[in-house]
Amino acid sequence: MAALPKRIVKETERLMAEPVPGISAVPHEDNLRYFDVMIHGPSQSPYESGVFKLELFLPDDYPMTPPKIRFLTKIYHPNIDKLGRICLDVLKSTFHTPFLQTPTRLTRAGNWSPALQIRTILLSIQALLGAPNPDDPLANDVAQRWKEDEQAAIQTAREWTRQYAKA
Amino acid sequence: MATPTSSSPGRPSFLQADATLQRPQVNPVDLRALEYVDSYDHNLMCAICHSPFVYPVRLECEHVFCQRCVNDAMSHQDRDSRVYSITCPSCRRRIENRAITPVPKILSHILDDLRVKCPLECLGCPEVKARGDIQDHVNKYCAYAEVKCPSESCLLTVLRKDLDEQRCLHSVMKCEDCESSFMERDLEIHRSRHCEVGKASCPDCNAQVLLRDLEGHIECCPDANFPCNAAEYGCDFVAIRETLDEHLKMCPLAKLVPFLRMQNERLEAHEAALKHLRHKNSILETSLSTIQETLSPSANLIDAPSSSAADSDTGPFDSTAHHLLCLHESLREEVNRVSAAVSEVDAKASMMVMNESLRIKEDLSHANAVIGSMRMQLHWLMSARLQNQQRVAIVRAQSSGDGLGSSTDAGGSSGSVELPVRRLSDSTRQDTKL
Repeated sequence: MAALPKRIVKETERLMAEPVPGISAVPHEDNLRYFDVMIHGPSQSPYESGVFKLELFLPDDYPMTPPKIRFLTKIYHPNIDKLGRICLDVLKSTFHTPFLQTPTRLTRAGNWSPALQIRTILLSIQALLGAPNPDDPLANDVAQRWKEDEQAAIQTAREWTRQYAKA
Repeated sequence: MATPTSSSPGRPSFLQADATLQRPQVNPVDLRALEYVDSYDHNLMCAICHSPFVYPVRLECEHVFCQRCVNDAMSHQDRDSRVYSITCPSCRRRIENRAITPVPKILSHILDDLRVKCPLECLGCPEVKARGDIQDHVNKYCAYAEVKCPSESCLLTVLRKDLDEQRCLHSVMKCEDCESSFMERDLEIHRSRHCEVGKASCPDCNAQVLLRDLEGHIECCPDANFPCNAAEYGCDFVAIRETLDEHLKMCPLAKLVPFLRMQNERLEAHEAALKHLRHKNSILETSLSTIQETLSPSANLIDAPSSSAADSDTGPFDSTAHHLLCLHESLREEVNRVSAAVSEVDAKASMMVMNESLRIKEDLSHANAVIGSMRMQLHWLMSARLQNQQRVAIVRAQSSGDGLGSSTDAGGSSGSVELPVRRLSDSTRQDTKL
C-alpha cells in the first residue's frame, strides 16, 4: 500500500488530540484508512443518550472523493436505510448523480468538497440525527411514517435507540 | 498557467536545469511531506492537502490553494460532472474562468521562510532549513544525500559525506563476525546496529555484549565506574554506581558543586563583561588621543597668555580650552553654513537677473524692429509727400508761363513717375517687418 498521505496523518492526529465533543474516531491499526466511529445522539432528539457505531473508510483518492461511511448500529431515521447507508449531500461527489435517475434525484447533486474533512463530515451526521429530513428520504417507509405520524415515528426512534444504541 | 506564482517560475526551472546537469538521481523534494519545525499560522494551510501552501494559486473567489490540489480537484470534478464548470472547494462558488491567478509575492515569501527539517532526517541529517532553501540543501549540501560514486567505473551512489574518501565504497566485504557480505559503505552500520553475532566486551564488567547493544549496556552496566560529581573541582573518587551514591552523600566537594558551578558561571559572566569594557575603553582612549591631537595646537595658542594658571589647575585637557575649541568648531560650521547659503542666494539672484535681462533684451530687439519698420513707412510717406509737392509746384510753374524750358524737362521726367520708387533694398529687408 502506498504511503499514507500527509493529510490523513494530520487529520488523524488532530482527531486524537482534540476530539469533537460527542464524537470519537479511531483508526484501525492494520489499516489507517479505516476508522471506527462512535457518535453520541444529540440531546433533545429521539436519539439522545444513544451511542451509534459507524464505520468510515477513506478511499485512495481521498480527499478528492468523499469518505465512505455507514451506520453499524441499527437506527430508525428517514435518511438512513436498513444497511446503515446515509443520505447526505456532503457524502456524495459533486454532480455525481447519474442523469438516468429520477429528476428529483438529479437536482440533489452531491456536495462533497475536498476542503471538508472527517471531522466536519461526522459533525454533519450528528446534525442529521438532530434534524431528520423526511422530504429527502432514503428509507421510504420510515419517511412515510415520519410524515404521517411524527409523534409515533419519534417514539419508535426512541425505542430503537434504547434497544440497539446502548451506551 | 504552467507557471503559477511570481516567485515559483524561477525555482522549478532552476531545479530542473540543476537536476539534469549535475544530479540526475535527485528527486524533487516533496514539500508536503516535510516536517515543519515550528507551528505555523493555520491560514497558511491549504484546505485540501492540510499542508502549508505549495506553489499557491488564487481562484476567482479569492480562495487560495496549492496549484496541484486545485488541479486535482478540477480534474475530479470534470470526471464527475457533465457540466462545464467547477466550484471552489471552500465556498462552492461556481468558477467560470479557470484561469488561476498568482498570489501576492509576500505569501510565497512567508511560506518559503517556514522552517522545516531536512527530508533525509531519517538517515541522520540534523539540518533545519527555511523551506525555500531545502531543495538546494538536498541537491548541493546535505551530507546524507545520495551522489554518484567517485569511482568512474562504478554506477552506484554514495552519501555525500562519504565522498571525501575519493574511492569506491561498493566493493563487497565480509562482516568479521556473521560472515554475511556487505558493501563497504554499509558495513559499519551493519556492525554497529544490526549484526547479531559480533560481540564486544564491556570495558567495566568484561561481559560479552552484542556490539549493537554496547551503548545501551554501558549506560546501565552495574559495574561501570563513574567519577564523583565534583571531579572537575578536585575530587578524584571513582566508583561503581552504588558506592558512588554513598560517596556523594559524604563528599564535601560534591555538596559544593552547585555553589561552585554558580560561582564559575558568575566568573565567566564577569570576564565577558570585563572584556567588553576593555574593548570599549580602548575605543574611548583612541578617540581621546585624536581629540588631543586636534586640540593641542589650538589649545597652545589660546592658553598662551594664561597657560601657567590653566596648566596648574586642570592639565592639558582643560575645560576652557575644550570649550573654546568647541565654540570654534561650531562657529566654523556656522560660517560654512552661512557661506553655503550666501553662495546659494548668489546663484539664485544671478539666475534671476539673467532670466530677466534675457527677456528685456528680447523685448528690446522687438521694439527696435518695430521702430525700424515705422521709420521706413515714415520715409515712404515723406518721399510721397515730397514728390506730390514737387509735382504741384511744377504744374503751377507750367500754368504761370512756358518760358522755363529747363524746368519743364525736369517736370516731364518726374511726372511720368506717380509714386516714389521704393528702395531696392526693401525687399531684402522684409524680415525686419512685423
